[in-house]
Amino acid sequence: MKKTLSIAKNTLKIIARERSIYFIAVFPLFMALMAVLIKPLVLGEFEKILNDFANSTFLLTGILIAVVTGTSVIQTELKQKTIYLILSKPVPKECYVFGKFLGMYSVIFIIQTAIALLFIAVFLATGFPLSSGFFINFVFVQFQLLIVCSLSVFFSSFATPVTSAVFTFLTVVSGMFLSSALNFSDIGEKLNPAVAAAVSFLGYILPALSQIDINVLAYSNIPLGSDFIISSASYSLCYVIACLFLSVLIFEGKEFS
Amino acid sequence: MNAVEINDLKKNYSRGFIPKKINALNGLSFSVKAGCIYGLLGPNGAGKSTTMKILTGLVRKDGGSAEIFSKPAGTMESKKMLGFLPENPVFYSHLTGCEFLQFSFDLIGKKPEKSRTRLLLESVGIAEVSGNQIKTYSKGMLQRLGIAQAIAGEPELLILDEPLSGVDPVGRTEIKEIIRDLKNRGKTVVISTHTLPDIEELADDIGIIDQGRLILGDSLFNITSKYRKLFILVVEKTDGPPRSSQTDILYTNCGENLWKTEGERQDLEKEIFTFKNEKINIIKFGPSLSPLEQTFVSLIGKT
Repeated sequence: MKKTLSIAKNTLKIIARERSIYFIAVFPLFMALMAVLIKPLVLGEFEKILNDFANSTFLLTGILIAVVTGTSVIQTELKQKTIYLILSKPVPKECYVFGKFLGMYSVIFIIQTAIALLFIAVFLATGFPLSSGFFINFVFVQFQLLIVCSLSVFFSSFATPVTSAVFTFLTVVSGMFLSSALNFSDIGEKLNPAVAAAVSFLGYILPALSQIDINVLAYSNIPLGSDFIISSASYSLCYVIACLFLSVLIFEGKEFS
Repeated sequence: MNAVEINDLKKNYSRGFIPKKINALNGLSFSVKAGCIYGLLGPNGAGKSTTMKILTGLVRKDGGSAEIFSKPAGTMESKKMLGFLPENPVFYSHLTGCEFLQFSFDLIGKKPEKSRTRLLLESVGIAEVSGNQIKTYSKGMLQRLGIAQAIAGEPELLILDEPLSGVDPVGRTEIKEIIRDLKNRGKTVVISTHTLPDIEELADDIGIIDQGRLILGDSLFNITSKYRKLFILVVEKTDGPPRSSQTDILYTNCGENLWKTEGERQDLEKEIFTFKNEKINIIKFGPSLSPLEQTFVSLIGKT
């Protein structure tokens, strides 16, 4: 475990030095400012707007960081050959992959916490009450970002940084759309059975982030059932484990020549 | 006991869009005695780095066996017994030397005391700069840091790929001293290098590989005494090349009025005797290459 944590700590330091992170970090400030500026335009709906802005900022920033930095986290090590100094030591490849994932998510979590503090400040400054839904939503956004991080590590284990970024982004976006579409329609009735089976299969493969997006429920203070919480957490955990397991498998077969 | 035992090792790489098979190792066999310095020599693409990467588990073998102290190479057990310095090592430039060493200790799974880290940095001569970021280090300092991380876990076997490349003469002498010191502490060192005079100073045994096969493996003493030693003679003569009484000695121009030839010592001594009588200036007479260089050139030239 110490080896994994050490790799995670080092990954965090590497990502913290990426300039792109600081460009992305400007985005939450922009969103918070926008939320305040549009206050006079939204009659009576400001609390909902603020919640939506916060939710979008959490998700977009997290996904952007995962896509931009995550894809280069492993590939840069392969390109620069710093990986030689790690894997020639008694470090199991699963420790390496998990350490990279943990390091990457730590960066995202730190930035997410900063965004949460920023929006709490906006809530307090504008005089609107901060509900528990805000914090519950924050936790569920983290479930989604854990999935995005694991996908990013998975693609980074075999693709070049650019293709890996494209794959991660497209997978996340298509997963969001597909899970929303599956929510609203009964594909079994409307589609040819073979196509419906293929779409359902894709629904299992692609990350169903919309399924664990509770922004509307949280804002409306609709209590979440324990089965929903457990199934969302389990889904995220299983997806992360599957992605990391596949990444380790790919890494096991990899040669560093 | 042998520190390294390699038998019939094979490795192929596939390169290109339409995969083309390249034989990197073609039945390589050799062994390294524990406690000695083994020089692994060969031209570019001979398979030295591939052999080292198989021993460190970075590359998988396609056939044969490779063992480190009787443990299969690439396993966690064997990795615990080795330290590796890759060719042109790249470090995390944002870390300081001390932080990187701490990171290496963590990866090895050993908790170092601060004094041990300090001692290690002192032993490779970079203690004064250990608090600076690695990006400020010179090539020599990077090689020293590379050696420090390789010996951090007190491994029994050290695999050093081109440890002297790009290092200035003073740095080379100091790194050679570090390597000798490791041997004195009972460690086994496998070094790959292109600089033969350096390996001649360090190695006990030599293995020369070419096209993925061992073409010569012996002690340095045996190798240097077995092969013929060529000498070089340079003379100064204004009116064309000297005329030799020996048909196999030919002179080539190597500067203004300077003529050079290469041959067996006794043949050239006969030439010198003749030239003294003809009052031709002898500019230089001595071994043309070091014994190991001559062996290397003659062997690689043949294959």
